[in-house]
Order: sequence, then C-alpha cells, then structure tokens
Amino acid sequence: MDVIIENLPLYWEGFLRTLFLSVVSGIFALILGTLLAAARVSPVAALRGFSTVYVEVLRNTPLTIAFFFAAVVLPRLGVKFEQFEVAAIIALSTYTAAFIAEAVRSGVNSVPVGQAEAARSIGMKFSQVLSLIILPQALRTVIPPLINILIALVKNSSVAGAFFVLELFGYGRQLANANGDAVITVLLGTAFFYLLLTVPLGILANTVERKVAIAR
Amino acid sequence: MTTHVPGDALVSLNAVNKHYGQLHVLKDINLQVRKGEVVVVIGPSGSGKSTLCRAINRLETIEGGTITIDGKVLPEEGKELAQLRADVGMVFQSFNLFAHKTILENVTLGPIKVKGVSKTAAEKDAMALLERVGVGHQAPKLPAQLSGGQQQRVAIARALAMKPKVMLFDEPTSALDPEMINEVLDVMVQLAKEGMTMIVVTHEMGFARKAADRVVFMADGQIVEDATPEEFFNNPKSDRAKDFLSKLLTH
Amino acid sequence: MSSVLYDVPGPKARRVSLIASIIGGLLILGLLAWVVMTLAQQGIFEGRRWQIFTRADVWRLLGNGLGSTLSAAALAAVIAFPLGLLLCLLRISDAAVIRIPMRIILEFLRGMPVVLMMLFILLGFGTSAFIAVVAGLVLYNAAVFAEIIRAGIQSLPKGQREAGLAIGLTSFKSRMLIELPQAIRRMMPSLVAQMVVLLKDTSLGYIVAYGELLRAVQVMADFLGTQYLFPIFFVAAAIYIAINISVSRIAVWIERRGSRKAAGGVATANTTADLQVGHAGPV
Repeated sequence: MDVIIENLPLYWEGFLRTLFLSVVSGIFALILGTLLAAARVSPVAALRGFSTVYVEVLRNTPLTIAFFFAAVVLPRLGVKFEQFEVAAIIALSTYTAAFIAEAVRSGVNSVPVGQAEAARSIGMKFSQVLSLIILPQALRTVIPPLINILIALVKNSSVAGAFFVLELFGYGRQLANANGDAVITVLLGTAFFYLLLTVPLGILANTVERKVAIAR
Repeated sequence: MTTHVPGDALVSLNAVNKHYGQLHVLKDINLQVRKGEVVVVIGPSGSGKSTLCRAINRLETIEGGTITIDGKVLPEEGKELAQLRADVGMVFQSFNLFAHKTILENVTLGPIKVKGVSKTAAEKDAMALLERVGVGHQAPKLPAQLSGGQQQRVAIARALAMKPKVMLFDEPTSALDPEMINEVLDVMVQLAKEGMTMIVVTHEMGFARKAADRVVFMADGQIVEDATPEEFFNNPKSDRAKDFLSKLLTH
Repeated sequence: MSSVLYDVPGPKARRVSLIASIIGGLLILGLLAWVVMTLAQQGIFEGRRWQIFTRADVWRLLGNGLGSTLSAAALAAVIAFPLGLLLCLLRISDAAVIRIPMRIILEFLRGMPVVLMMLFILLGFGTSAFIAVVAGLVLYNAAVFAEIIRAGIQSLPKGQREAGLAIGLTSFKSRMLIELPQAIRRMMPSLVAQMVVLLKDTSLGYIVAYGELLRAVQVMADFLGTQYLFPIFFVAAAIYIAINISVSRIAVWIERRGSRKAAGGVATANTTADLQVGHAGPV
C-alpha cells in the first residue's frame, strides 16, 4: 500500500494523461466516425465504397498494428512527430472511428423504414426527415453502444504506453519494474485508476440504455 | 406536356408499368379517380394493389406511363415532390406514428414544419381532428401507449391535418386485431360521407359495399374489373373475379 | 423501394450522385497515387527491399510469429469459454453471497485493460510471456463471455425456466439443461465475434515481449536492417487483417445458419459484440 501512496502523484499524472488521450482521441473518433457513417449511407458510390473498405480493414486490424504503424513505421517513412502523443492519438482515433461508424450506421438503420416513409408522406424535406424523425430516434439506439466504444477506448489507450507515450499503463509498468517486491500492489493501483474511468462509464451506459429505450 | 386527363379526374394513372427485377408488378394500369370518389382496390396477395397505392405518392417509382394529381404530373424528386405529398394523405398498414413524439405532436408536426402554421393554430386544429376520430383524450400520450385501433385513428388524423386533396389507405386494418377494425372503418366511412376523395386498398368487403363508389379488382398486376359495388359483388364479369369472390364469401 | 433515409433518386439526383461519385473516386485515386509516389520516393518499391521475401528464413520467422499468435489465441479461447460459463452460473446464482462478489470480480476483470492484466501476470507471478498472454486473454474474455451468456439467459422467455422448475428440476439443473443451451445458441454470433476480438488481442502480447507476429516484425527489422521495416510490416499486417476478416466471415456465416434454427432468433454479430451491456467492447 505504501508504494501506491508514495507514488500517488505519478499515478495521478498517468491518470490525467490517459484521460487526455482518451478524450482527444474520442472527439476525433466521433467526428471521423460520423463522417464515415454518413459516407456509408450516402447515394454517392465512391464515398460508400471508401467508407466500407476503411471500416472493414480497421475493424479487423489489431490496435497494436495501428500503433506500430503510427509510431514506428511512419517516422521511418519520414513523417516526424513533435511528440509521440500525436502518433498515439492518430492511431487511437482512426481505429476507434471505424467502430463508431458501424455503431452510428446501425443506429440509423434501426429506425423502422416506415418512420421515414410517413415523414416523407406528409411532405417533409430530406433535412426535416433527418433532423426531426430519424436522428432523434437513431440517437437513442446509438448512445449505449457509443459509450461502450468509449470505454474500450479508455482501455485501449494503455497500448500507447508501449509506444513511447507516458500515460497510466506506462507509469504502472515503470513502477512495477522499479518495485519488484510489490509488483501486485503497484499493478492493482494502476488497475484502480482505470476502473475509476471505466466503471462509472459502464454505469452510465446501463442507465442510458434503460432510459432511452423507446417502446415500440 | 399534354396528358389526357378525362373529365375532372383528381388522380389519373395512365399506362403505368413497373417491374421488380423480372417480376412485372404493374401492367399497363389505367385508373381515373374523380374528386369526391371513393375507390376501393381489392385483390389477392401479390396483385400489385399496395404497389399501386404507394406509387401515387412516389414511395414506389414507376417505369412507364404517367401519374397525374390534380392536373400536375407526379414530380420525381425535390421540393415539388414534397409539396405534392403535402396534398396527398397516406395511411399505412403499420400506422408509422412517430414513436418519439406525443399523439398531439404527431398530428401538429406536419402543419407546423411543412405548412408553416403557427403552433397554437396547429394544436387547435389537431385537437379538433383527434376528437373527430375519437382519441382526443389521448393527446399527451406516446404512440406505444395506445392500442392499434387508436394508433391508426391518430394516423388518419395526422394525414387529415395536412388538409389533403386525396387520401390513400394502404391496407389500413390488416394489422389490427378484429375487435378494433370497426372503429377505424367507422372513421373512414364518415370521411367518405363528408366527400373526401379516397383510394383504399383493403380486404374489408363490408367497407367496400357501404362506402365505395367504385370497386377496382386487381390480379397479377392488372386491373381486371372496375365497377360499382353492386355490379361487382352481385354480377362479376371476369372469371378471376368470380373465383376470388367465391373463395371469400364461403367464410 | 425507399430506404431509411431518402427516396429513390430521381433523374436530377442521379446525375448529381454520379458526378459526385466520379469526383470522389478521382479524389481517392489521387490520394492513393500521392501515397504511392511518396513511398516510391523513399525507395519502398525497390526490388531489393522486397527480395527478402525470397528468403526462407524470413517466411519461417513470420510463420512462427503467426503460429504463436494462433496458438495463444486458440488455447485462450478453449479455456475462456468454459470458464466464462462457470463465471456466468456464479453470477446468476440464487445466493446473493456468491452473486455479489462475483459481480464485483467481473466488473474488475472487464474494467481494466487486457495488457495490464497480462503485465500483472507476467511480473506478479513470474511466468513466461506465453502464459501471461494466455492467462490475460482468458481472464478478460471469460468475464466477457460470462456477460454475453448472462444477457442471453435474460433474453429467454421466462416461461422456459418456469417450465423447468415446474417439472421438478433444481435451479442448477434448469440452468444447465434448459437455459444455458438455449442462451448459448442464441448468443452464438456474439460469442464468435468476441473470439475475433480475442484473436486481435493476442497482438497485445507484443507489449509483454511475447513472440507473436508483430514482435517477429520488430525482430526482423532490427536484425536485417530498418530498410526492410516497411515491407515486412506490410506483409505481417496484411496477414493479420486477412486472418481476422476470415474469422469474422465465419462469424457472419454462423449467424446466418443460426437464425434459421434458434428459437426466437439469434442476435446479430456486429451489433451485439459492440453493444454488450456494460464494459465489453472491442480492443
């Protein structure tokens, strides 16, 4: 226990850095993912194709490969980063965006086609159908899985620690190596700080899931 | 472009054709519906009657022929199509009430967002319509809280709120439990009495006898007979129609 | 046939869509061309860089890496599934004294990163990297399987359990003979999808110095020279992606077969794996 208390500042810093990575990557991933989802359902064939390929490939790529590419291969190819955090954010965002795209697309497709038909039948324009009828209903379906994806993102940020970024996992590993006699305690401390993020998010997901279920 | 529009036909289908892949679902359809007429379309499953109904407000596209509503050819896209749809009311088999909006909001949404009516005026009209169809007291509830029959009556009110020139009904009672069918048919009969132009795809023969001006019998994508209810039910001309009616009336 | 979002496009919309398609296609091709040219400038496409693939030892090393990945994944899957069943039974136990601690344990296992668990076992118990990877995968995925199966049992009609109890089965027997088999069949696509996640997570072994495919890449680049980094990486990544896609396709195939057989239908693989209640999410 003393090990944890002594190194609390380090844990805390790692926690904050993990939080930072997760939030920034999360925002980029949400934007990119939504754009990809829009491309996937658009009537423009080229966009649809590109989006489908992107999502298929990235969903089937291990995150470590994505990180390796961003942090090791890219620099070798001449792409220089100021800090490795940038590489980490690129890897995490592009990876997570693929899952968000799928979740958003599922959400939109989960709205019964009759809703849009009824909306069009009373003379609504596409923008109205989308904003008044489809999106409000799609959002309710999409938010619980989105929260789950964000939980996964928080856990995935730990991979950054293996690719030259200082965050919670990296610090945990450092401390474990430095305190060979108290390895389990050190790592439990690290786990605690991850749980600090993932458990509340999990509870949020469950609550939201129950609240927004629209009876059909 | 001049299209032959006989008399004062409100809805006019001329030589309409449609394929689903290899299947020829609408074969050379010619149908004229005058203002105030109630036309009931009946026929076996797969006869194309639903497709016909949905083609009139372009939920289904057609490949050949023209559809004209109140003198204007059915637009294929864009603002014109939306405007035309505002004048054509549609009632679906599965009601399709907006699940995330209250009953009142379901009925006021169209007038407010499409016609630009003020919220107070829209709500006043909506409440009157809901009373008229018998669900006024359900106004603040969500669709899922209502029975099927009540939901369908709200759907009729929603379509009426747009003050349409013609109302399309795509098997409005087929998804309802038997005890709720009559409450919806009563509303439709009343609507017919008040002079609304209606095109109704249904299996309910009773409604056809009571309220229809004409019965159109479809089979295999074609209009086989087009007659008054008395002529059709008592004296069907085609073998197909005779066959269909004999199967029904043995119940 | 209208889609969820928009009408069947009319002539003007089709024209706009076609033009946008062509422009979009050109842009994407342009992007690819730029990438290829930049790489070519770096000499990536020089023959000598790719000549190493004529060497048998390179392929052997890649093969070993792949083999290590697959064997760790297979072993973990084989252990995690029965363990998940057990954890699930405990989680839904009628005795609160078992149920509540179990819930906490499962939350814990699912709430922390898999790589942390691997590190935990590697350093905390002094095991080999292989054991650390397998054990980490087992613990995490057993917890996820437990949740998936629990969701499956909860989605069964209540009457199933009631009927079982009514004919005199004990709670345990009802679970084993009636509820679990149905729940598993129902959630099969979800379970298989999680297996794909498990397979992907084996690459985390790289971080604890397990000799899986990515580490093979690292080793070869270090040994043969960093000019070979890109070609070797490219091939390894392609192998990884190809295998994952194949296993995913199998998951979809199983889902299609299952939905014809299972009572009350079967959850779809794509949505459920990502949408699991609680934490479980893709890594």
